[in-house]
Amino acid sequence: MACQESPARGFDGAFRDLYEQYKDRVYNVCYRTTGNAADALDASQETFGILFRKVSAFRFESKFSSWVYRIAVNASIDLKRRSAARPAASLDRLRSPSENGATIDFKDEHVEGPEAAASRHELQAEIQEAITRLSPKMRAITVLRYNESLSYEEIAEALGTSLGTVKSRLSRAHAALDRELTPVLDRHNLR
Amino acid sequence: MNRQSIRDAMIESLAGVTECHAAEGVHIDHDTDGLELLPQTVREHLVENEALHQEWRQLLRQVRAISTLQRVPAPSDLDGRVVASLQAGYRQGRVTEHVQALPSERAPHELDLLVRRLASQPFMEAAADLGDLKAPASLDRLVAVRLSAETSARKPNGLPRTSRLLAAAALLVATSLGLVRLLGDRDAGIANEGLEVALFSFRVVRIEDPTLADSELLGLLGGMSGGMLDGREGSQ
Repeated sequence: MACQESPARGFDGAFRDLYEQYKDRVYNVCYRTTGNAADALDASQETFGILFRKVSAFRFESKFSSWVYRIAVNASIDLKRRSAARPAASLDRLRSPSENGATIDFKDEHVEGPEAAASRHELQAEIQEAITRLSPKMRAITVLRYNESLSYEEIAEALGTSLGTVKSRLSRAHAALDRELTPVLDRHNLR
Repeated sequence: MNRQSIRDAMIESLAGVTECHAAEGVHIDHDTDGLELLPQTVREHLVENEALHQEWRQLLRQVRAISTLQRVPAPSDLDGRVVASLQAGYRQGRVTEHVQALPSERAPHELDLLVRRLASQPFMEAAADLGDLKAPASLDRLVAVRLSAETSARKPNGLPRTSRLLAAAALLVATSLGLVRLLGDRDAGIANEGLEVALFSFRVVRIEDPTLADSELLGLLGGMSGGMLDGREGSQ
């Protein structure tokens, strides 16, 4: 891929294709891992910066998508680590994506009515908050498995770890989710 | 099967929930207990063991909830930011190439005298006395080019690059001040340790070979630069 030679001419060709192909996946992983739109935007930008700088060195020893996920997860975790050292973030950063400036297409909103839609918005924000309370590694594995539907093998590649570690980490993530998510689901009477 | 392997099998089977979700949209039938997702052997254990069955229901409930979170599409701002960062990266690459092509600058002889004089002064006085030497014109030009090229580009944290460069310059000054103190304590002998120090209006600290530099000095530089100058990434 001749990505290194032409960035000054604009954002065309291989760069543009790569970006278009991965931007939603990258942003989604960053959003779910960081828990807010502002950090997700920063982490996504960082991800593509790294991706474009290093793409010519990619040796196809793993799936390309796993490599992209790996960069996105690491960028998100690094960003959260850095921001943890800064003063506490505003509570607004934990609002739902739509309140954060991102848009979500709730396809069935028009049939479920405004109250139900509002309730679902609230529930989804609380689910996201519960995920955000997990440790960064558990958060990443939860997002890759259940939002991006990656197999264990793909997750192992993306996180640079073994299958056994994926299994044990996912098991621990479920134990943590049990603590964080069950009260939310109980409150909303969800079975 | 022991309890852990049954739990592992249950968790692995949860992938079926997200596949169903992808196929059916947001409306999933939450009334079923999803036993059909499990391998037959695991299902048999669950029929016999209510605690395991309950654990499965809890896992299923978690994943059904998480699966309702739809993919958040990238906002349009991302396009502009990626383009800007790509172009800034390209300019930065050109500057780096330019820097690498520059001949190595030797520290002027009077620097040794200055360092020895500063090292014997209290820290604050030394700090006030550091403006004596001017940077070589080539360095001034290089930094001016770099600043003008990158003023508009922004990093992920939103700070203009000029602010980050100023912070880096401050770091170098601080590093040099620390170095002066350290050299004062150690009383010279630095040339044999692979270290060159140039105190200009920009403070340039160059370690040609980190393996030859004093470990105490590397520790000092590493501490001041948050690991950036600690030699782990080779010569700085």
